[in-house]
Amino acid sequence: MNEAMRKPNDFKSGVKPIWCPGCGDYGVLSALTKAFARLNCAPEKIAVVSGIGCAARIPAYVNAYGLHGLHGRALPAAAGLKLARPELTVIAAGGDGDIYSIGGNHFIHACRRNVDMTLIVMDNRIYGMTKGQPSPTTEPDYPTHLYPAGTHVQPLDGMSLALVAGANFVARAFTGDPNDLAEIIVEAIRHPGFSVIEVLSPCVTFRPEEREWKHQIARHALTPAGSVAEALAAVASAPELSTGIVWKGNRPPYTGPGDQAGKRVQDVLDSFVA
Amino acid sequence: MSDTPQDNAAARESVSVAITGSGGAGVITAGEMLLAAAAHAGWHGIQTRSVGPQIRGGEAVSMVRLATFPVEAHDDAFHLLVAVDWRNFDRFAAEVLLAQGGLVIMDKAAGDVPPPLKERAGKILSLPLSKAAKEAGSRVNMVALGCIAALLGIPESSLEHAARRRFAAKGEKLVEASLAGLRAGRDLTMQEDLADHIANLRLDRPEKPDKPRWIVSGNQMAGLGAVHAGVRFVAAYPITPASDLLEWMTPVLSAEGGMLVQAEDELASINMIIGSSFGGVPSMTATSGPGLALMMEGLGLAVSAEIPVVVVNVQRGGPSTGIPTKSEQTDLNIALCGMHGEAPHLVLAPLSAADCLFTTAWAVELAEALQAPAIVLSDQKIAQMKAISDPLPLPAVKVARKVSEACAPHAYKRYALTEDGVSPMALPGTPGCMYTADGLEHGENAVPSSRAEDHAAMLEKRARKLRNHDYGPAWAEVNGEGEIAVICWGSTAGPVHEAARVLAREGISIRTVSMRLLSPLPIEALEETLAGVKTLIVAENSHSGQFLHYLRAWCDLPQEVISLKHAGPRPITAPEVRRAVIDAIGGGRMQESNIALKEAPVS
Amino acid sequence: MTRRIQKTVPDIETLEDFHIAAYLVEDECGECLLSLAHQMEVHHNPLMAELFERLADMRKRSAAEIFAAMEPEWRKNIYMRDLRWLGESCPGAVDILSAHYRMQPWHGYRLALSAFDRIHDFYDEIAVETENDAVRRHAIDLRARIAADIRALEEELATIPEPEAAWDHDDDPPMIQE
Ligand SMILES: Cc1ncc(C[n+]2csc(CCOP(=O)(O)OP(=O)(O)O)c2C)c(N)n1
Ligand code: SF4
Ligand SMILES: [Mg+2]
Repeated sequence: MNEAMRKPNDFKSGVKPIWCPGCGDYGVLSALTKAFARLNCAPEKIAVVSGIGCAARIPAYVNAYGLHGLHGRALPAAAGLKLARPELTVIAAGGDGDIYSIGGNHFIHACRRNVDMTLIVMDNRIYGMTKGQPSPTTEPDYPTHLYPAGTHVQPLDGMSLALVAGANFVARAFTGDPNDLAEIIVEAIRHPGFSVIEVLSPCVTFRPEEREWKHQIARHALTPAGSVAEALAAVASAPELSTGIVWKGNRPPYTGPGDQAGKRVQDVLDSFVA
Repeated sequence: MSDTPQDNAAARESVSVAITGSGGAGVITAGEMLLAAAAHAGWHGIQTRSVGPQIRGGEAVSMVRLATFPVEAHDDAFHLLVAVDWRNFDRFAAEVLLAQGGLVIMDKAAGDVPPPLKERAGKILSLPLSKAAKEAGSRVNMVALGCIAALLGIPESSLEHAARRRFAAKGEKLVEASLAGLRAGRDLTMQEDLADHIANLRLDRPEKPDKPRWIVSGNQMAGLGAVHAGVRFVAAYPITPASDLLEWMTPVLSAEGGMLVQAEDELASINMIIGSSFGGVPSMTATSGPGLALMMEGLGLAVSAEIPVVVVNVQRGGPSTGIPTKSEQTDLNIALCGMHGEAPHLVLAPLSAADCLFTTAWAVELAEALQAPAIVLSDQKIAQMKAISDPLPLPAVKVARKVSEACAPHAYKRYALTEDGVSPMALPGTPGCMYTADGLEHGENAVPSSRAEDHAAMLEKRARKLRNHDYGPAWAEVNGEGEIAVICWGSTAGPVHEAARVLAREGISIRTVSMRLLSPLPIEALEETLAGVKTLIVAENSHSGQFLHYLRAWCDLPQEVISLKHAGPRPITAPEVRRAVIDAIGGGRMQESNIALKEAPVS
Repeated sequence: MTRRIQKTVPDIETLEDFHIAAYLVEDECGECLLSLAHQMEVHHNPLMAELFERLADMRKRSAAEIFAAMEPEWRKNIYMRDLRWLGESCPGAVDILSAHYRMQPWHGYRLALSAFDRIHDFYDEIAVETENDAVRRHAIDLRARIAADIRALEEELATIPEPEAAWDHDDDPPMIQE
């Protein structure tokens, strides 16, 4: 096959998604396959690692190696894989509940550890897979079956958290604009270190009003800032549904603890002699 | 041996010494040096410790047993107890039982002897240990060690060898000071009229070994076994008593081209190694009870997605935070049954500190061959024990994962229903075989499925691959003949083997079965091994008898079953095992034909 | 029809530029419609699955013809350019967010038509603004083709009744999964 001719379709597995028709996650899948085509990666050199949730179903739909693991645990599994097999292109993917709630601790530590991989958070501000309970990004007054009068709990700002915790690339994108999302994914993958892309990805079943996001997006209201502090200020002051890359840092990626001045097995045996 | 441990042997083939002190007295170091000197001179032995909850300056006791034959466990009493001070000694009273008539040496400034010791001691000698240390420009632990070495007959050259090894890196001045302290201790001892006691404490001459002996801990040997078997990725979260295993591994792994990553928690540890092993790199984590509990969901994923991982779980007292620094064999239930759903996997247990080398390496071999998680149940006792051992050969394990070659698009079946249940695993990078490993139930092609047929087929496949594997003879250490058998698992093997040795000398032959492979339970081999046995003593360091219940659930056990069990931190001891055997014979219970579950008396 | 797309067209100077852009636009539309066909198939709306497949085929065929007309070297460069080159969300993109598992042909035609219209406007803008004669010729051809497709769809749509008010009603609640 002509190396230069990989098409987005080459990165579709042929498994038909079980996502609701209209779900924002289709746009993420489309963008991801376009990004892989743009990067001209060999499918066998890519791994998509996810947790559990609607969003986290994505690996099976991508023609690449995939690991559909545990709810919340995509990031450590992805980090283990990337550290053990640094030549692979590793993508971690999941929903707002998966990454920010049950996987919240891993999210913080993935940012600070800065392994060279890309995280795609499909944020629909709801738990889709379990039928519409509030997630960490759900608005405090948003009514759900679990809390008909809202949670009264402040939403989590994943972008700011990523910035503070040390992610090396932080962006927001909208699934309704897959070409833009694809380009952001391309940049995120190319950028060394841990890249976080929060994708506004409507849940048309439990939050049909999110369909209107397409009219509310502030496209590229975020642009790369000069410092983390400026990036934080930009995220805070930009319209709620802003997209764009807000941070491209230059921290060196973590590839493991490096040389620890040890001896190989054969040479270490002497140390046991009394 | 009798129910009350007596100190009446003339010359000894085994002697037990405890050194206690607090506030930075350095008794652990003294114990380790005693062991090192003995190893150098050709004796066998072990050293363990028990400590208070303080990080620094806490009360501590260093327990050393030296012998002319290989030992894996402590005796049930100490012939010599040296106290730098008595602060909080009562904390150790149950662990450090003085032999009736034993010798107590204490610092003059140590204060009152705890009453129970007063009753048992044959002699209590107050010596100016601290004062002598000050005068010699040394430290009190060295003076105490000098006393002990003189009493036991450890050659001065071996003692000096141990001191140099221990302190050389810290400079000649410290070495000289230590040697001065050791001499001062010896001189103090020689001034006293201890002829009777010296005769009792003096060890028989050892046979000089061909090769210098090793001093090993279970944690080091587990680390060595894992790296030797090819583990190259470790992710773990610190926890007592597994942390020193991790610390040992980090530099060795880095030199071998692997790495150890400190994870943010145990959920991350297990999922990181699932990720790395999915990538084809043999991977491991080490933890203890609380961490193992957190890893259960991940282990289930490894079962379902058929990703080999090894978890070395160094047991400590539980539940909850329990007794972090002390041993128990009570993670058996969670290791066997902690996962939700039906999740066949491997559970192994090393039988001694030295055996951690083989068992951990074997666990890596099995996990990789069977594409399943393996839990290795070590415990604090053997993990942190220092044991003298002949140099250990690196075990001849064959670590090989069945991997898939490149194949045509859409042809690859990750979970192909093969005859032996093991399906070739495509590693990322293999062209054509792209698939998604899944913890959702799936069909042969790895696509999620909730069909009853797929679930049944996959459950059976995952069980079959473990069930039909040929584990060879390593599943247990089986010794001796007789109608009485003692069965145990893991680190209780040490005391059981010793009891059998003592009983043999008394003319009583028993069969011992020390199990290394706990899951899948080798039922046929076990029943075959127990054929002809009329009384089975099940020995375990557990309050509830987890092991007995496990055996009962799966095996046809002999007519009479006796449960020898108690909780940690006191380990099962050889005298306890011996007593249980004698009682079984004495009670004439072997004639009884109905199955009787009796609790063996425990001192 | 003279509807204009919001964004100026990408820099299309050469025939290669144009062919690649046209291919990507048509292919995007075809892929979106095919994805919708699959969505409908999985959610047991065979009527719509069939319709979307047919609609996808229209654009896929067009894309294939553009591809066939390309110089072989150009084909290598299709995915080498920044995809944003095609402007703010690709003219061929179908608004998948508007899909619904109980949607009816009336919705399907309108959804496809809105994308077809944007494709038409894309060719139209190029045909009007390019200074390259070869590009203009091809743009005019493709504009005619999509215009024909649009006419055909509009005719079919005219024969289709508007859906009743509660077309998206489902008595059952959503199902819990993982
Ligand atoms: C340990 C565990 N707890 C709970 C669940 C149930 N569960 C599955 S997905 C999910 C939430 C998914 O929400 P999100 O990550 O936002 O993904 P979405 O479905 O919205 O894409 C939950 C709670 C689970 N699978 N595992
Ligand atoms: S429930 Fe929501 S998030 Fe899940 S597939 Fe449906 S639309 Fe998407
Ligand atoms: Mg969600």
